[in-house]
Amino acid sequence: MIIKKTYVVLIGLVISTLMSFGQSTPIEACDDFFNSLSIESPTISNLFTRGAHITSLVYDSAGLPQNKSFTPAEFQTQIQSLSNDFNIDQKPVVLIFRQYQSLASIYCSVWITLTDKETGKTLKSRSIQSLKFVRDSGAWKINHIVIQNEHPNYPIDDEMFPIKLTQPLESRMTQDLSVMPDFSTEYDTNKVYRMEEVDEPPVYPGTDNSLSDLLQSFDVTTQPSPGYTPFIITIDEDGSAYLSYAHDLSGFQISRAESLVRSMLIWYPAIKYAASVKCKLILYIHD
Amino acid sequence: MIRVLIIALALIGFSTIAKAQDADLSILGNLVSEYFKAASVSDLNLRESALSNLFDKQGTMDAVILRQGQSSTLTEGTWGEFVEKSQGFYNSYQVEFEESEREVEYYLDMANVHCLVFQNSKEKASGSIYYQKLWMQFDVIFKSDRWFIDHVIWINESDPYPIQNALLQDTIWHQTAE
Repeated sequence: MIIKKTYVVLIGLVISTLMSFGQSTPIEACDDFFNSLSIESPTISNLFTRGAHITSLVYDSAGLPQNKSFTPAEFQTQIQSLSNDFNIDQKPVVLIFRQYQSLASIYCSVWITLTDKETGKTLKSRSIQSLKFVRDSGAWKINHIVIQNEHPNYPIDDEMFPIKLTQPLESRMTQDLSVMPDFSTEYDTNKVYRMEEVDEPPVYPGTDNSLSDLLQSFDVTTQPSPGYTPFIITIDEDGSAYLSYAHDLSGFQISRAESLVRSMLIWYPAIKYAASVKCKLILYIHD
Repeated sequence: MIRVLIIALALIGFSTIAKAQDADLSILGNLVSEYFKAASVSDLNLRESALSNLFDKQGTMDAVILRQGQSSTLTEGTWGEFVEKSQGFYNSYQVEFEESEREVEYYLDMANVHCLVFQNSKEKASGSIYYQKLWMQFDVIFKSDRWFIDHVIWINESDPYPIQNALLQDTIWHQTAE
């Protein structure tokens, strides 16, 4: 009995030592956070203090900054939702670090890669993040984060993204693309196909200009360009359109994208092997 | 005579707040200076009013209290909760802040401000003065043509570790494993 008790206590000690060892410095806690974001269905709430908040700066249609505040649980939901469609890879690049006893600060540049799980298409983004860390019950936890994504008109200083560090990240993006599996020969009624995979792409009814006029009226384009944020709409087998990915958009952009989709007529759906299939379109809305 | 004195005191109070509101908060330095002024106001309502002008609606205010044995306690909450909870302390002490050093990192509409500050607390009953050194960090955001405080956190100095070292920064290049 005594042996059993000792055994249980020892296991407890080993587990607690391993847990505290995992976050024994603020830098390790920072690595834990960014590594956790890159796994399938990430769980990150446990890396934060109880009253922690995450503030993200986004821009409205007039280009004016607005801040969104999230609790760790809300932030986790956002990331998990994004990870349904994309493989997320976030890497801190240059970190400016300060610490005094139980409080630490990291101001860092972050390289973000989103790889579409179906198409393999990769979106690159960069940001500056300010993270505060507090030693709480022996482990370092995140107390606050502010995230400012790079604005295309105001690139982040090269000192925060030195070529020596960003080149391996760029080349890894190319490698990732080359190893993506080819789904084009598979047929699945539940699958949402991309435009290149279908035999006949979905067609918007009306004249040749009907779709372009509609997109223009909502300041939306079909090609990426500076100042525009990507989002995805899906055309169902019955031709109805719905917004399927809008996580990068601000609240105002989401409401505009929703209005756009509501304004659409019923499409002629995409065709694959002589059958109507779901198909997705990537569009870009002005910031 | 007493009535005149009360009116005069009230006018001084309102004029202090008016000055705080008049400060050009599109200048980052003014926001930090105004914070220290606002946090020094004794009257609860005036302090609350002055801080509400500086903080974002969702702004938070946290503190790490470090003790001699190097154990620490974290207090977290909104700035409004902090004002409410610190009322007892302000009833007993007249607080003043004196900023000695400041460092800033910023990109576009966010900035990270580090300040080393002396906090002088004069006990109203005895006149005794206590002081401590703090490392304060402000996360501030720019919107509606001015800066707002999104988050502030501080830690107090504890012997034998000089808090001056808090501003010694390390720049770390994160190596990505191939």
